[in-house]
Amino acid sequence: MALEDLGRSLQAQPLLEALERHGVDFVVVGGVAGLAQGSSYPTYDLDVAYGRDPGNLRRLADALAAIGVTLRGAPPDLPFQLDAQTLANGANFTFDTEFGSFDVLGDIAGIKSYEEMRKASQLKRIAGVEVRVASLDDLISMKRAANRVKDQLMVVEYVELADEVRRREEGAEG
Amino acid sequence: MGEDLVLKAEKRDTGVDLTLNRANLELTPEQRVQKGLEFADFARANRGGESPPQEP
Repeated sequence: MALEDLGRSLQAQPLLEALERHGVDFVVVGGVAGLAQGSSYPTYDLDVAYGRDPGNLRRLADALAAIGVTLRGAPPDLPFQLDAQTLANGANFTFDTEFGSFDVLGDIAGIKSYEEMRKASQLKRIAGVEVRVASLDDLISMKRAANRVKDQLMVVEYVELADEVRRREEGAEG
Repeated sequence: MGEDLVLKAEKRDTGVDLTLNRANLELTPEQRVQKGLEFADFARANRGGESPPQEP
């Protein structure tokens, strides 16, 4: 049985730096966010959620162009115009980059809204870049909504991890 | 019968090894991500079990 293609080694720094440099409003979600919160599950791609206002779509399109993304799994000759209108017409895009697989998500099941998730996110330094990282509670909600086998396994760990973090916070307060 | 029926809740054994998470929580978020991505690279480089191509 062929194994799943795990893609290139992920280098988060150039991807996050490009988003920051272009002033993109985004929140790190997915496995990298889980790692930042203390999960022990490895991940092979970078997922970010992004704000859908027109200005942010323009900035995101510029950042993606600077990174040099290509559509993952699409024939190389498939026409794809990377601009704010294309991003507005879609929501979730999966890309290949020279820095590894990179997904940008405008529509995420399990959360009330991007704005609510952003409000609950935390500023953390990842790969040398200060970024917003989704809260464990929101990561749990997203994993529950996705509900694939791997998500179900990660939910169990995230819930235990969230309990552990709360115990530590309560211990620090008491 | 001299016995009481007692209901109690016990924490479910989920199989999660929290010692790994506790060790991660001692690191900075940056270190946690770096460690996880390094492990992913190790897994990527050491994947086994693929069958050789089948002869036609």
